[in-house]
Amino acid sequence: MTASLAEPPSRPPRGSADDGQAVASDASAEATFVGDRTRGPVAAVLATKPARAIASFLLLAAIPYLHPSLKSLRLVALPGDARDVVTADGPTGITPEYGELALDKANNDKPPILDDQEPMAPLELVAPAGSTTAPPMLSEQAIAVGAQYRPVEDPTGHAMDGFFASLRKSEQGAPGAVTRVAHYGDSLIVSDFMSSTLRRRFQSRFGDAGHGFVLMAKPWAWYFHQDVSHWSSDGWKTSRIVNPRIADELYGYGGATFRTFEGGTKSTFGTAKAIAGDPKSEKEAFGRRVSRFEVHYLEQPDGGSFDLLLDGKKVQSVSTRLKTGDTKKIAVARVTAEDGEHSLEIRAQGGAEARFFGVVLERDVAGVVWDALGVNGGRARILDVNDDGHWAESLRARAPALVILQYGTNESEDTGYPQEQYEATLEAVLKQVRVALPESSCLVIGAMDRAGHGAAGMETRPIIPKLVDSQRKVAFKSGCAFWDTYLAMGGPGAMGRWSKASPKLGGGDLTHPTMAGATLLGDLLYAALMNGYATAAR
Amino acid sequence: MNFVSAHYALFFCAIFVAFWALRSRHVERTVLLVLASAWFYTRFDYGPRHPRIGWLYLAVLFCSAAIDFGLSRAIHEADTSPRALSDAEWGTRRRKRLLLISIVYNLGVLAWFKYTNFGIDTARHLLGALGVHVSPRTLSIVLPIGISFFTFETMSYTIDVYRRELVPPRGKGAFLEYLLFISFFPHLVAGPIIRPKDMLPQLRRDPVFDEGRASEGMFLIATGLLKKVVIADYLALNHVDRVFDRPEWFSAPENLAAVYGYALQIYCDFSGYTDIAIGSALLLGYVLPKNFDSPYKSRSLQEFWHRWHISLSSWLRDYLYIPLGGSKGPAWKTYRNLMITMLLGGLWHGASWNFVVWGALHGAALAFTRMWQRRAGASDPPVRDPRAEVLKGVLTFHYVCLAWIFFRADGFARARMMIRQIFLGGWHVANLSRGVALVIALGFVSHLLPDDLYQRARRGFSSLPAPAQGGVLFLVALLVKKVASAGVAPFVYFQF
Repeated sequence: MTASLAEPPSRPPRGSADDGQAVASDASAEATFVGDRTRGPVAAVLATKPARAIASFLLLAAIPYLHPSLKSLRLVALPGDARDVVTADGPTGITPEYGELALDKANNDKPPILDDQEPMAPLELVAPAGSTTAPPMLSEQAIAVGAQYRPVEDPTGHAMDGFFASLRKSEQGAPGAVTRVAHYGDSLIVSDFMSSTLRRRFQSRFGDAGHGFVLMAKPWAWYFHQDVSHWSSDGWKTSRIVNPRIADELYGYGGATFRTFEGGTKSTFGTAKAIAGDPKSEKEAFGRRVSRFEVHYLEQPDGGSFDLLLDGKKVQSVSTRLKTGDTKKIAVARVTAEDGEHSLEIRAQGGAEARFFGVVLERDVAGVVWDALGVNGGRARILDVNDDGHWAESLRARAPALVILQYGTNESEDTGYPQEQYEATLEAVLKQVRVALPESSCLVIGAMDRAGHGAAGMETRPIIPKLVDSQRKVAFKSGCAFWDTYLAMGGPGAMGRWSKASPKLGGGDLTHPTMAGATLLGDLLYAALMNGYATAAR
Repeated sequence: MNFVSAHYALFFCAIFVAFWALRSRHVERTVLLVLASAWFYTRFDYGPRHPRIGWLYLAVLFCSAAIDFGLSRAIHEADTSPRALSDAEWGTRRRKRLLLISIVYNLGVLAWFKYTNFGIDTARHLLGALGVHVSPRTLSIVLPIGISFFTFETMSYTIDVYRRELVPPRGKGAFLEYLLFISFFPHLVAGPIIRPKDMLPQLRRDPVFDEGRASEGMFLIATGLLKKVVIADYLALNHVDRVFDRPEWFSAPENLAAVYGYALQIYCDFSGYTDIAIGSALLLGYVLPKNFDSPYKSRSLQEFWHRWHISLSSWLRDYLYIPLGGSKGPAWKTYRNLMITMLLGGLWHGASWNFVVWGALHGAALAFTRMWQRRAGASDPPVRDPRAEVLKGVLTFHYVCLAWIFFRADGFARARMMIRQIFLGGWHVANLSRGVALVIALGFVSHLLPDDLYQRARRGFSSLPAPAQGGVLFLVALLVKKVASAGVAPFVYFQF
């Protein structure tokens, strides 16, 4: 790979210290031409081999426009190719493939946040309720890219009552007043970028009641959790709601299930570790305490057993074999400890299948727990893949006061699925949530902006505003609140501006925010929720 | 307008036809290219808050060109005016004064756009360290695309005239030619930094359509696209950006892969851009200088700077390092000159202390190399041990990579964290996909292959029949489109 052009011009440039004028005056005498001199200059050039090569290229590029079946070979999309419909080729979105993936060893020892970032103190939000003006929390950079405060939209004024009531109890500090949030989403939540900001903000304000739910192993390369230590051995096999799927469609609370037959297969979860020798990191307060671990597993006929080791010492053995009947069901094993730094190891005994979903880290103090439930490639309707009764059971086991659904990025990639059907499937998923948790609030977070290259530079993909409209409509119809990420980012062209900002707020793929961008999104949503909370209190 | 876009393809096809139609009409052809370049320059997106700023910055570009053109002519005339002939000292003083005006103006414009907020921020920190706490507002300044490149080009013109190495052309179309030299769209926004001595004579004479060169131009455009989209963007999106964003989340090999990936990314991004620029110019009959020569094959930092961003390193050598005294004089002055040159070279890349550190690392290593060579008595031993050569290459590459960490990281904390993780992080590779590892491996293998293989591929492409060449170009375009389905990232060097 060499950037080549070693050869000088075939005739050496004649510009020199003393011939500038001379070169200009006899330029016409230089005119020579390779090609057919009997033709005009353009015709002569067009008859050359390079021009014929370009013509061949243009011809080949034109062929895919002759028939719609060749659309995928088009180099430039036609207006008719624009994505004005939402989502993919069936109600579940992705053609199901059943099976499982073997997972490698994974180590997610996350030291606390970097020392060059602003301390995560509670934000002072002085924007009046319902205001669309920017609260003072917005940095100059955020304002420069067009980011703006957006309130949570709730035409009924009561969609968030359950959440705010729970928050109030947590704020009052009543023992056990834990407010849990189930934050479902796609890759943005898989990385725990935005959700970690929200977790920290809420825990700073209302108390740290623990990290929340973490999957048993690492089902996607970019599955991360901030402020928690998570390690898994090899030997785990996973099936997920986004393929490969499992025949019984039981994926637990987080959308993924983990099986092992091998004795010694293990996962460890614990409080965050400081970076050795870094005093700032050692002072970091988030994720440093836990007093209760909950292991979500499946009870099933012929289920195997596993051991629980607290801080390296075995404290419990659990059999996953069904005691009665033959209907598989979710079960929870609890380990308590004195509030502080701890780790819990889950180790399969082997000989029979032990099947797990994840582990919860909580504390018995008033505060907030924010469960980041991201699924790579996730779409709202894919939640429907999970067995209805099982998912409802899983949700009730966690009892979140607020369920957030944050999707749209992957839907914007799909074609061929009518908008009405998208709305219908989203409505069905929201209905399942409402039925499972009638007292809880639900919040639909609209699609982020996503850019493509248009005539005027980086432009919003046309599908995005349409998706947002559908999401808002369905949220309101289902009695949920709605938050418009697209407008909060700055509306048309926002992702283009985010990706060009310095430091970058949007990634080079013009789709995902960077860590800084996700933090800004988290702050914007936090501001919206807190203003709603303040309004409700009044 | 981005090179990697259908708009550029259409734009270029239209210019190509119109240009060759006007091939023997010097003024019209020059006007066409100046207007096309102006259009190209205003098509860059500065965001919705600055919808028309492209036109303003075009005025900045043309203004710089006009001022330098006028000053250069005045410098030349100061040599030949009757008074100068009778009073040589007056002529010398006047020439110096005019040159100073040009340099102050050019660096002033560059400093205003590029370094004002950096200066304010630095002053605030320094005062804060002294216990004086002020909070001055930073200004909302948007950097004109390509300003670092065209400023250096206009300056080199004036300095060359001052040094009597160039006679400013006169007569019909002279200013237009000069304007085109500065604004010629293939090199306008990210180089190569061209010299007036190389470019003006080409612009003056009627172009020659050479089939061989045109084929080479197409080949370069194709390889440039592949480098940019298939390697640079792929690595950035799938590994490098994420790891540099949160190095503490990744293990030692994952961080190391991100550093190697970035080394490859920035090379493929920048040299890919240069390939497209050179290829586009070749299709119009112009030759732009070579800007890269397999830089990671270098066995010393000195060699690296002969192979990396050649047009910048040679500019810094000719207009900064040598005027400072170069390697003449005592050893300490040579080391000082190297350090100053590389520090300013670092700062040229951006208004950030990260770039200063990057420049300092290179300056210090170059000075150390020079010191080592002086002590050894010769730069190259008469007989080379192949193992030692390989070792030198590996060490040079890793030192360059170390400097890249500071170049790329958002702040020193992240750079430090990345270095820490490389030495103290875990050893798993759960976040390093096979695709990324494969692209990194293929990228470096192809980089390290003998140049001859590349030249053979180029000649092979040129010898293909026209329809087959068209087929290859279509396949490349299709591959680029598929890989870049989520959008092509802006070229890294646009920001400099």
